[in-house]
Amino acid sequence: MAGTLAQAAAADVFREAAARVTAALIRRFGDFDLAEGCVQDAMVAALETWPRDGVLERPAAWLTTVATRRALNRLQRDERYREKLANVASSPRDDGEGDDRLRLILACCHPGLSREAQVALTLRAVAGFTTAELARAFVASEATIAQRLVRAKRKIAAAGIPFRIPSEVELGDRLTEVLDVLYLIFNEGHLSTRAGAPSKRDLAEEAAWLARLVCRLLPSESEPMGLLALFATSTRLPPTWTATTCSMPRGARCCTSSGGARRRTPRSVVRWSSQRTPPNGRCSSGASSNRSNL
Amino acid sequence: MVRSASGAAGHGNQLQGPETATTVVLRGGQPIVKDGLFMEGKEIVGGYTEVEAADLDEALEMAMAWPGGGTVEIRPVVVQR
Repeated sequence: MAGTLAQAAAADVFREAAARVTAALIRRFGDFDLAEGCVQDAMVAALETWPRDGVLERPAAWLTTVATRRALNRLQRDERYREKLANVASSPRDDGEGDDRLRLILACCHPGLSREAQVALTLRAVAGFTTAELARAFVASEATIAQRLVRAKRKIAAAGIPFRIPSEVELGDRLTEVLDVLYLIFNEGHLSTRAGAPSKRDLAEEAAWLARLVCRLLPSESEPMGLLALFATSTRLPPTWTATTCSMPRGARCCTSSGGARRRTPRSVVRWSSQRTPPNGRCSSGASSNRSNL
Repeated sequence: MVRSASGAAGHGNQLQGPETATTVVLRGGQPIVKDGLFMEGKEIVGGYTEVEAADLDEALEMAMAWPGGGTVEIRPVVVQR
């Protein structure tokens, strides 16, 4: 009975005090969502304690005190969360899956393979493209692509292309191929060829993450930073823009300095637009200044 | 051992198929590594050597440091078991 009475009293208090307490918290913390959430938390606490301990003399003040404490707790927790998030983001993930995927990419981008095989194999093995999707991307028949993949895999096995991260000197030589491939993966995520999925953010993020990994492994190289900067600026563009015009500004040229990707990449995968050329046409300079944001 | 009246076949290996070949071009400054055979038309084999390598990268390292210059084609041999 006491419980029911207390609940009835609580309902009256809530009706009376909720807006006032909320307003007080908004004034103090300047955050509407936080204030509302904490007042609700305080009400839940009231429903738990009041039937047991009885309604206090000044229930509104009690609610304000509890809600304020909750708000302070939440802010502290959020602060800690942000700190931890920052720690996680800055700590290297050079183990497990990430590195294996980089090894995989490096094996797929081995100079002993033809460029067509490198790109096809990486998209298949790392980005999970189906043969049909590869065929569409290369403007080739599925049989051709299937044959290309089989030949590439046979060569890896027979010639003994290793599955490891090479020394920094070698890695530099392979970088251009790897970046071209990452760029294609990003492009596929950014402007999908797959029907019904105009923008697969996950693939774009994957490419960006791999690019970040390459940046960490090769901190002295500017090209991965440039590619990452390009990814970052492209991701921030409104989707309608990319859907109607193209996927990449011409700044991408600095990331494919060999010229190989541009020449050999089918137009259906990489579409260039003169409309979106940045003023200076390069992104390397932006890469270093944006470094801390990436 | 295959023999004729005046001679005998010596050391030899069967190479794996052309699709397993990797070519290193040493002309110019930076060695160029590419997929496939180097021989086209009038090009000729000037010599060969057998090397032990754990994987293609090790073979490539040797090929790129080859003192003779020109072009080096790397072909795995068929291992008889």
